[in-house]
Amino acid sequence: MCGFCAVFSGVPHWTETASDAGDRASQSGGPAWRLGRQRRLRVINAVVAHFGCRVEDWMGGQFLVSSQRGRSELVEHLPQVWQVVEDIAQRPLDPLDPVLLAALHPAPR
Amino acid sequence: MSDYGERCAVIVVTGFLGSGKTTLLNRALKDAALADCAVLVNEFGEVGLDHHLLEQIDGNTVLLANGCVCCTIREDLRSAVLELHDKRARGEIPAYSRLIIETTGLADPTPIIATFLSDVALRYHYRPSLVVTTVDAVHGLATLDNHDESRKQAALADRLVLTKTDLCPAATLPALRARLMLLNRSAEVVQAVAGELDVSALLRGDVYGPGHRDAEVARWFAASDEHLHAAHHSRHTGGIQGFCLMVEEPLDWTAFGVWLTLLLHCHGDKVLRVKGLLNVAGVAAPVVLNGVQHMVHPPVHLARWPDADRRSRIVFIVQDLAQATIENSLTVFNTLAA
Repeated sequence: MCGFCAVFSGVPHWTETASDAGDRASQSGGPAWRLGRQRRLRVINAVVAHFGCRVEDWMGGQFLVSSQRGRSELVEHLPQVWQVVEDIAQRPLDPLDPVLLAALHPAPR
Repeated sequence: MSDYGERCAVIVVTGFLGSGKTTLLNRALKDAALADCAVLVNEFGEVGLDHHLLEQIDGNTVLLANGCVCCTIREDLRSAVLELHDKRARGEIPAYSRLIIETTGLADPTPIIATFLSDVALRYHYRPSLVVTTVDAVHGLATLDNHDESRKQAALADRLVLTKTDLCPAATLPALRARLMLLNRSAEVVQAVAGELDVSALLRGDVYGPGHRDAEVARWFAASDEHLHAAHHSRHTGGIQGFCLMVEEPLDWTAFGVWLTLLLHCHGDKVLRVKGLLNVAGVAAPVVLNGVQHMVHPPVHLARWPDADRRSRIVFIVQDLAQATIENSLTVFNTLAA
């Protein structure tokens, strides 16, 4: 738990284990770590936008998932983000779905 | 929290009914080099106790929030391990640095791995190390033909131990090896010769322990496509297949993490194993990736690339998923962070 803001923060997800993968130099909470988190949010939002959702950082330790209709939920890790987005969109968030892939990477005209 | 590699290594010994798990375990228990092992078995059988610690666990499971059967936490296992851990801390039993768990013949080893990767109390002290699957050379082909449990035990393995090889016809072994190659191209296949097997070497070393990382990663990618073509005429594998993606472009770690978590979220029940050596953009050392169904171990680095080839290589062992579909999806996601 953060001693200043009293926000609980659990064990890092494997995608965020910056000490041993990805950017070794980025320590949790440091500037590089924050930049990395913002970058992760950009990629996440590129995906969840197709499901009517948006994800923001919450106190550096959690994700705030919001729908266009005003529903919002705090979660800790990426798999929980995907679950909430699916619950909101009422359809599977499938990275193998050709429709989603075409939307993410439109063929050049 | 201790470094991941320093945590107590958990070795799961599995295999179909009568495939020689207990014989393997008995041999391990008599090996002085494995004297620092604690052992958990599902059923008391003919296992000699000697100087080792042995506890029995009963079967009950608790479902995790995401509801996937492969991610159930074995509450009985959790309790047994915590009790063992407490006894060790109180000095009531000798210290141990490895924990061997023998499953029943019909067990799916995945919930055991999930328990150690997911449980808050266990994950600080233990790490899943190896899945060792025994395969009876006499009945192995028929068992693989007829039992989903057997195919999954083979597909999840890090080590495949062929047992009773002195009792089977000579022509059977190449066919069995070919079938196992199709089910799991990343596992090391070890053959007990006339009952002899270096169990200590078999159970030592994984990608997280000191001194074994390079050799273990090399094993993952040892099977060439030629091997697989040779095995191609083997009989059915119940939809399970292995393939190796070779990715030319360096991977963006952020995009890769988003992609893989999404893939495992949606298809984790079909992605039985994923093992990779990744060229991550901006990182000189290759990143080692190791996952079982919905779960992924904390990634680690190799000190250096094993050869001049800088392409990322990812072995997938999947059920009813097509290589081209996964490859295309990864390519698209890898562009998202640009």
